[in-house]
Amino acid sequence: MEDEGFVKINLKDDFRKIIIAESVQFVANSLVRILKEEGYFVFQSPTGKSVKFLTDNYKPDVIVISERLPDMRGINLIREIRENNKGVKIILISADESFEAKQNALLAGSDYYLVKPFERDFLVSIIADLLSGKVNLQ
Amino acid sequence: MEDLYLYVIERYKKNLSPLTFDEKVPGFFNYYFRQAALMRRYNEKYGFLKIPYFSRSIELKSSFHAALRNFFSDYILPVRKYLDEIINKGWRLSSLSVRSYNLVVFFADLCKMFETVISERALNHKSFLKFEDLFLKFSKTEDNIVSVAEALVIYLKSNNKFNDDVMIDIEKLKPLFSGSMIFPSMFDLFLSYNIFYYKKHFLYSDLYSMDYSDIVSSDFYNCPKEVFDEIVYKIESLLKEIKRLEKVRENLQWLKDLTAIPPNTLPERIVSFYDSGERSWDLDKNDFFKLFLNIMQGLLERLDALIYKDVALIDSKGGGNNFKLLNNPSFELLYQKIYNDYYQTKARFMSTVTSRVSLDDFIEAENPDSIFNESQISIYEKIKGLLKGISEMSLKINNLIVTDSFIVKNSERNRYMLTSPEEVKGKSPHQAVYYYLELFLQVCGCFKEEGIRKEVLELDRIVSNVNDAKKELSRISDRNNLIEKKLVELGKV
Repeated sequence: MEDEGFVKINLKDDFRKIIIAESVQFVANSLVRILKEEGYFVFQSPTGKSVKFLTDNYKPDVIVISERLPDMRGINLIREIRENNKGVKIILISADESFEAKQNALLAGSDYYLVKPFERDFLVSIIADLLSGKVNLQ
Repeated sequence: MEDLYLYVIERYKKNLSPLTFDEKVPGFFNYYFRQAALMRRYNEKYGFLKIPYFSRSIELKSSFHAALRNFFSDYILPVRKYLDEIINKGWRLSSLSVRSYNLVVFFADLCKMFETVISERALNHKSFLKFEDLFLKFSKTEDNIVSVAEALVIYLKSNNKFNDDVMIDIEKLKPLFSGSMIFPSMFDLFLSYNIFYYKKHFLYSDLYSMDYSDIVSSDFYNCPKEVFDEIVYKIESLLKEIKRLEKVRENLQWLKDLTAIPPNTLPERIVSFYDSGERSWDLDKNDFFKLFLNIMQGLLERLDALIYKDVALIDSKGGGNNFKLLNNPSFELLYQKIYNDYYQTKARFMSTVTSRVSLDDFIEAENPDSIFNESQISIYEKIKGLLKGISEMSLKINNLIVTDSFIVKNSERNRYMLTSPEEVKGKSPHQAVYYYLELFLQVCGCFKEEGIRKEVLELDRIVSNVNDAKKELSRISDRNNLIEKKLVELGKV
């Protein structure tokens, strides 16, 4: 062992999976590109149904959900995901700046409510903070 | 290193100011009407001085020089020969403290000065004063000579040079510095000399006009340059050894944690792997052989998939991708051996009617062989071979990751995600391979693979060695670790 044998593997725990649930293609593409550049493993999912499939099968770390999806509202999707997934971090993206909208999202189980439009770096820092447990409910 | 030597020695050396006396020579009336009578009265006792009545030219008699030489030859000379040995080698002894070593150095300086004084043709005031200064500082507390005597005993005993004669010589030193038991004493010589030199009467108490808490430092060895170089070399070696042992300890601790050896730890990885099939760990653990063969079957299925079949992955760029995770030919050879051994073991198990032995009994047994009957032992011998194969497979996987020779390079570790099999679904290839490594190691730990168990058992010895090396380093290092810091700065450790 002293000269050869098992050597400690310092496996970097940085494999993080993110689902982007956005039906507008160019917005989705942009988000995927940004997050891939940051080293995340990113799934693109245009519908609520496919988000649920990916979540159940691959246990993502973060889900970024647009309020408007073709098959369901983002807030309803969050409620369904939360039934079986307490640990995953969820960000709801919406253009609605009202207090009620934010409150509803947080009550549904969202970890962060992000108002469109937003800066690239802001999204990146929010995700990093959520993964490291630095962000409180907003 | 010369600079470092001077810096360290100066930093820790005690700077003691020289002893001072009332050095005023008395005037005419004081001398003739007071000092002369006192001096003559004192001199009646030992007669080292010649004090004329009509002149102030006091002289030292030859008996003074003779007494001085006798003290040296009777008390100092017998032990003098050991002092240099202690100075050169004493620092290696853990039983000899830094303070004791430095007292020996101080005592050796005193002895050298004594020798200088008696070897000079005529008594030299400067030399005598230096000698007197050292002697009086050293004799300020009895503890100093006691410590030197103890250091001599420790050193001589550790070098098999100790005997009754040496003990007598060492014991003789103590009264020399106490001023009692010997008449006249060294202190009487000093008094006589000072009376001779300053032409006035002194008392014993005049010789102790100093206030030092300690005459030597306990912070580092006040050693010669050659010894200092040896200490630096030893510190360098210890630092390298500690670094090496820490690495070994880290690896062994990691291995121990990963193997999760029962009964202290539950091998959760195996349990969940086992239960993920259509089997129950809790039910099957009552039959050791059946449980083991079922686990091996599951492991072989996974190895077959990892070595021979393409694993389905999703690429982070969106596309699917397939490749063999363990695509090295050496895995195939080892797999074939394990595969053959497994079927031979299973065949032997199937053809033998055996009573059941539970996994708990196996784990509790100090010697596994003791709980099996003859036919079970023959199966268990085959199991040992299988476990060795699993251990070798684990080592190969370990090397694959450590040397970054895995099919997915470390820099691309987050590019892919596995979509099957179930237990690693959603993991990166690195995470998946690590999962199997942990599973294999837990099998080795749970079923007592000899090689891995031996390695894990080494941990206690390594931890003890690390602690010993740290203790030794702390013992010989200077108080502020100046030497260590310099070695690090020079990139030597």
